[in-house]
Amino acid sequence: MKRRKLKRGWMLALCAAAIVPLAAIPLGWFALTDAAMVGQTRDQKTPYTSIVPTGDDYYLLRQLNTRVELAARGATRSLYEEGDEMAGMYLSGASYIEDMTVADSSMQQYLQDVLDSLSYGRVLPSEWLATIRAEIGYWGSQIYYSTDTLGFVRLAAFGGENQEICLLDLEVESLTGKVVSLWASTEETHPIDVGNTLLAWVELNELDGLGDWAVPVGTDYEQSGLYSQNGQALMTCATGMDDSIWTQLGRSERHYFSLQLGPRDLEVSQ
Amino acid sequence: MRFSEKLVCTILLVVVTFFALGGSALLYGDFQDRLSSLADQEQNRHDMLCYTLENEILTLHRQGEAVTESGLRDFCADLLDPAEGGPAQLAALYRTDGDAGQGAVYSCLPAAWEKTALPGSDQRMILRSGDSLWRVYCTDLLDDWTLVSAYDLSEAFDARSRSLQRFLLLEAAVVIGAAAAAAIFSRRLIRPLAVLNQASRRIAAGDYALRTDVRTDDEIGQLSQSFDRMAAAVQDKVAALELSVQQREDFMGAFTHELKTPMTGILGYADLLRSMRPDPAEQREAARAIYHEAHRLESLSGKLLQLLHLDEEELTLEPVSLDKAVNQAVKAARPALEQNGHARVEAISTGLWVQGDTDLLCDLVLNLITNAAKAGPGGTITVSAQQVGKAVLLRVRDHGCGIPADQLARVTEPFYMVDKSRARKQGGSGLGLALCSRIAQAHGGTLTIDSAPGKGTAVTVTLQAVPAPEEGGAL
Repeated sequence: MKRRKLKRGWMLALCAAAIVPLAAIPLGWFALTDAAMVGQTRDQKTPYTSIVPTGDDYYLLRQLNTRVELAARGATRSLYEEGDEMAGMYLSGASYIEDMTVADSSMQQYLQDVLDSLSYGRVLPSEWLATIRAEIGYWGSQIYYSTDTLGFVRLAAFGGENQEICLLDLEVESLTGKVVSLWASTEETHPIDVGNTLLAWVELNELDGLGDWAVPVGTDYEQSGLYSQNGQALMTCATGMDDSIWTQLGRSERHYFSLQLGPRDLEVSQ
Repeated sequence: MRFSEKLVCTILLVVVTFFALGGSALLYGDFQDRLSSLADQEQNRHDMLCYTLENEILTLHRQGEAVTESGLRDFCADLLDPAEGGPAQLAALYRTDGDAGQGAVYSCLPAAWEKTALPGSDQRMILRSGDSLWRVYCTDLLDDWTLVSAYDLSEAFDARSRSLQRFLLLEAAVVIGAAAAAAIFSRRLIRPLAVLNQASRRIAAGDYALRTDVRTDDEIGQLSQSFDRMAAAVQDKVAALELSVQQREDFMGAFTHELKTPMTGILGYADLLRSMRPDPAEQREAARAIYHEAHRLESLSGKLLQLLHLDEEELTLEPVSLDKAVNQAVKAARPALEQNGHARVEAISTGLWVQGDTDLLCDLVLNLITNAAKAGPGGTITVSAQQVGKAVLLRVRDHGCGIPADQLARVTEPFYMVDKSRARKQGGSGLGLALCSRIAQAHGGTLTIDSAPGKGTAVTVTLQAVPAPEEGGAL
């Protein structure tokens, strides 16, 4: 009898012991689901779509666009109009040595800083920078500059007996300090990596936000350019023989290094 | 462990299991819905942050100003100023290009969250910081900036904890309620079983007339009815056994008595002859009495042997002419008929054949005619037969004294005699009808008696009819 009672007590205790963990199923359930939830990567339901910028979103390109627009209108006059309204005044910068101003020391330093920034940004190869500086030094060239009313500063150096060789022609947007064109003529040449140079220049000019810089396949710039459809802008980088210079001894055997940034609407093959 | 306790435990285990599982699923569903709803809000806030930052970057570009890390750091600090209030939010801004790829320009994320542990672009994940859980979103922005924002999920988890606490309290109440209800109902359900148990004990103790009388429309009711039927069958069987024992005791008593009565007479007359010198007339009287009693004993022993023989051996039945058997019996009954007032037998020829044993059938008819002769001395005894379907009804009718109705059932018992003194005087042993009944049973038939005191008796034996065989084919 006592044994039966003991067994009965054990069975009841066992039943109670089974009920407790069963009742605690929700606790175990959530402990397991929480553990599985933490650290698990999932795709966002509706991922954020980035703003697609245009050329107008970049000050540099907007200024270049304006300049091209004015050039297209032939509006390099003192005053230009938009419709019947007087919209503003534009004065283009001088590009000939006779109309340019001799740079003072601060301007010369400015040029050196710009060239250094190009080199530091892996846009202008150091070999080319050294050669350019050597050429300027060789000819003892003075630095000239001119500005337009949109804020573009042209810096130039000339060489040759009659200053007939344009050793350096650099155009900088003064507010941003970004280079929009570079022309250098040297006797020596150096190989360049066009693709990487252009990518570095995009980054240096902080235009990578346009996000669609690509080789303009099917155009004349396939080997030397990067094009942004969003920004409607073309960047080119090229080296080659500079056969445009004639000296007293005849055609000069010189090489050039060129960087150009400008608005352009290209039909690019997909 | 009692059955009711087993029932309660089983019900509780099932209830708790399903309640807990169902509750878990319900709470989990609600929690997921809440998380999903929060995710939508978080996604909107994250998107708004992304848009604000991209807009700032583009604004700087439009204004021709440099997008500097310090500028964006200050912008983020203002944007995510905790003093602004609103839901808790953490964020970090990374520059993912160039050498600065791994460093955070701005971050208020917990230090434990390494950049490498954070989700990739357009992904999200839940990370733990201390006791709280945060959902972290990551998106790549313009100009190789990456924004990571995190949103506190503590409110959702706290709400779930509160729901869980309420559910556990409810579950405890349900368990207690279910235990009480199960205990009450299980006791009511198994009450008939307790009645059955008690009844079986009392029946085992000898109360065979007891019945459970449980009237329910379920298996227990059916079990109770079966139990009552079994109890009735047991009661009948016990009564039959008791009757059998009684009959056996009666048989032994009657047998002893029937042996003792002639033996007493024989011993008395033998002692008279041995010890006294009776005159010749007395000697003849004593010798006649001894002969008579010895003859009764011989008859008694013969019929007993026949009864035993019938009980032990299987009969071989064959087609028998009923007329022939009856005629033989009538011839054999002549001495008995003469002793009983020259009774007359009227045997009606039928030409019927039955499946049987000729000698036994002769004995059957002889016994019936002898009994009829003893019942009504000098009367007419009618022996008739008729075929009804596949059966032949052989009937022996007399117009004698008849048998009282209350004794009809016992007249086929061995040694039972309605009027013992008359029967003994007529040389009866009380085995005649018992023998007839056994012969009828041995032929697969029955023996029935219709009688009315003072009007006579009709004994009907049912036999199996067979077609008459071809000429010379059988007896």
